Amino acid sequence: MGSGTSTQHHFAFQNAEKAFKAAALIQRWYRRYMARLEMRRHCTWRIFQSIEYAGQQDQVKLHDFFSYLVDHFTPSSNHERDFLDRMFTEDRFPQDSEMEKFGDYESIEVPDNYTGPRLSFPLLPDHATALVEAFRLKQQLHARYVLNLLHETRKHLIQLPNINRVSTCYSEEITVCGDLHGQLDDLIFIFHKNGLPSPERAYVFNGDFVDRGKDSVEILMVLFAFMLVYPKEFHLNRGNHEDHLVNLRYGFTKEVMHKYKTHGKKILKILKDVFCWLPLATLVDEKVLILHGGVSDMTDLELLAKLDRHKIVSTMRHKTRKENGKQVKKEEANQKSSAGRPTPWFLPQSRSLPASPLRLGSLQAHRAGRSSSIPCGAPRDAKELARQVRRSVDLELDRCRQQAGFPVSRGKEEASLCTPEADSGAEEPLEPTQEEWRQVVDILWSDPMAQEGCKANTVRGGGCYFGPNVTERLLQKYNLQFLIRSHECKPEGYEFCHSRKVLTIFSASNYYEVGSNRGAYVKLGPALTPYIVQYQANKVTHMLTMRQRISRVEESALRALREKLFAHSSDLLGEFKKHDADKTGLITLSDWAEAVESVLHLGLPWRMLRPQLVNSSTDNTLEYKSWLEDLAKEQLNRENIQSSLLETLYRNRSNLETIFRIIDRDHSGFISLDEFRHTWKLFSSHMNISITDDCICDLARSIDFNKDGHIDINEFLEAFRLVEQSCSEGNASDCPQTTNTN
Amino acid sequence: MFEQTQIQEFKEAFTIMDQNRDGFIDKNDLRDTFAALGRVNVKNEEIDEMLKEAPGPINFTVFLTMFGEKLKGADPEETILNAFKVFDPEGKGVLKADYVREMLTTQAERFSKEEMDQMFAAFPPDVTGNLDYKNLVHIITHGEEKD
Repeated sequence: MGSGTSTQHHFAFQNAEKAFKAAALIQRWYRRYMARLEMRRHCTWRIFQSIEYAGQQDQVKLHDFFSYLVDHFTPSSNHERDFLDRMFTEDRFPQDSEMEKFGDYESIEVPDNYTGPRLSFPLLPDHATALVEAFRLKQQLHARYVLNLLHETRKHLIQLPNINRVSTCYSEEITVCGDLHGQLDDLIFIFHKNGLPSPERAYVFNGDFVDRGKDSVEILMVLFAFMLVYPKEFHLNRGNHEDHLVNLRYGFTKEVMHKYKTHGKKILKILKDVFCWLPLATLVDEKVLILHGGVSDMTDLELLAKLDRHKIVSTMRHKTRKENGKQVKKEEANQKSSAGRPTPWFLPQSRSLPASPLRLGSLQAHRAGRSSSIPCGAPRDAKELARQVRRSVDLELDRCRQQAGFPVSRGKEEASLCTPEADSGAEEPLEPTQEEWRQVVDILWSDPMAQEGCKANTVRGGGCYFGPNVTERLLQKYNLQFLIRSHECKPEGYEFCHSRKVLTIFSASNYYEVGSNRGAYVKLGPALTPYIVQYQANKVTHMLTMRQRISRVEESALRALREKLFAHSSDLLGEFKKHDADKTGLITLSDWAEAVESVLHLGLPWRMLRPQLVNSSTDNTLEYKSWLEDLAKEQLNRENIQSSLLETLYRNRSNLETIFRIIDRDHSGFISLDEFRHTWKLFSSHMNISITDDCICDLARSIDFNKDGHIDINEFLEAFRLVEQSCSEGNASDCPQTTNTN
Repeated sequence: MFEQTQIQEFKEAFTIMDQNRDGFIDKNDLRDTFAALGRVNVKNEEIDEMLKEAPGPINFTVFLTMFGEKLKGADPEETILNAFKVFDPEGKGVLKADYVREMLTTQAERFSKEEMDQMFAAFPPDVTGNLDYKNLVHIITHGEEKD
């Protein structure tokens, strides 16, 4: 062995060592990159979720606001009365004979040149299949058939119990699907991949068929058709979106009115009733309970099975009666104990609490990322509470009145808006009891949590968070094996929790954005072992690499987040200034994160998101004014409207649109200038939004393009880019109708 | 050991890792995190090892001490490029994908098959089976290329 070989060995050894080190470096570096990518994915998810839930909170606040006006507001003039009447008087509870009239489709003519699908009753399997095919080809079902189908659906649903029972003895396999939210592509995919419904192939659809997506109508048609064709094997559970008030905000109402201009109102009216008749839950082999949201520690399946589900018109707003069945007199309402009644969110007391006292400690522990803007406090003495509530409400309403330009009321509170003539002559109890209403809200709105216990679901504003012990207790009490629920979007389309005793199944893929999540459905055989199938109904996503997918979804989330930041510019500026006592115009990035969270209450990891939201920052500080200006430049493209006004409207656009649709009770598409102004004043004073009178007048007048004293909803929203793209454009191409189907 | 701002950042990272949001990182969280990083079949023993390193349940403080180092900073582009160049002494800028696979799965902190497949799915070799490692390093260091 000469020095040559040892040098060679040495060299070889050195090389090997070098290679080893290099490999280790590359591996570590790449794994860190993957970790960061994963972090981003989680962050993005949280952004979407928190914005979604914040929207739901808004919705609840809005309806609480209206509820309280209805229950406590005494119109002090006819003018006031008429105005609010228009907004708040609920339709009389439709009698059966009236329903017949609403379902009156026979008089509707179908033109000869209509090439869409036709239905005849009783429905045959071929009809249902043909319907799916027709929708796949983007055809639209004529209003006559829609109404006919809804009419038959209603007749069928009325006979069903609150809790449906399915057995694997008869159908060998049962497929359970979760939220679809108007995404027809996903439904078509499921039928394609799993097979159409049949006596051997049972299906359970677990609620939330409508809203958000663009084909809610078609989904309902398909689901109802199959339910009529296979009544024993095809089951639907009600979700929290099968609710006409929720639909006002989340797009279904809009979709119906857009697709069916002539008969949309009729369709919506009968749908409102159909939704109330949907069953609440499904039980498989007496062992697997399927319901939309979840359970609470008070969930009573016997009570749920007995109650009249039809009386729960909406889980958003309720009038309830006392246990003894008498209609609540408003005086009584004001003196009655408030424990158990929801207190208005604008008062400093807590929202309606579940029977078990709220544990404040656990609330903090749970809040990893989900903050709520609704304060929670301990329940107090009932009478005192009632008195305080009443006093506060009086003061609050007087203030609102003054700001809205109504004369301030004098005199006592008494029976309010639900004017006597609105009540039907028959004295049947029209409302559910408080307990019944609560039971239904719980199963439609609750979410599981990791901690033990049960507490109010302040993120959503309804239902509760239930822990593993609550699940366990319920399963044991009713001798069940596990729960299947939906209600929450999951990245993989499904998720087990509570030691696999609770399965969340979500069937709307790409829910937040293309590439955001997969959809899934679960199959149960006689052994009741869940078998999950996942999918993503969009070819584009398959072509993207993971990092591209993550980037795309992330960009979308960040855009939404930037919009939200812009919408709170004034508040943010105020908060930043607090951190800048010396008025240098700069704040530290840490302060930036604190300030943003204290304004937006989204519970997001701001420090991690900062590089994506703040473009330039030198040595850990930020010039906050110019940052806000940059944000504004991105969002604003109209110079003729003050930025602060736009910002305010932008922030409240969902509320605005909802208010619009509430005012426009007959879905005509128009409201009067006066109505708009008064409503907005009441609402904005309540939400502490300061907009001068003149601003609103100017705004209203400038939107009234043809100067006839009425505002066209769509024009108004369009004027501020508030209309979602999906409904304003592209419909001409989607429905290439030569005939009039609406 | 860490500045306040860094601690805040880590806290956020901890929250993200704590998938069931109970304030502790447990076996399932760890397993899920590994799975998310492509290491789907982590052995129980390995997870137990990691958990044993910690004095108790992994809450945020423990997390800071155990993983703080691993969360800090990224290696500069040069360093990583040089690491690749060790396998590309002629400086061609590309490496045979098979060679890369062998190099990364058989030594040091071995990539699993899944991890390797994942990398090639994200950064596919060209038709001749070559991996453009310069591009790979550039993209990872500088973010996405404009499509």
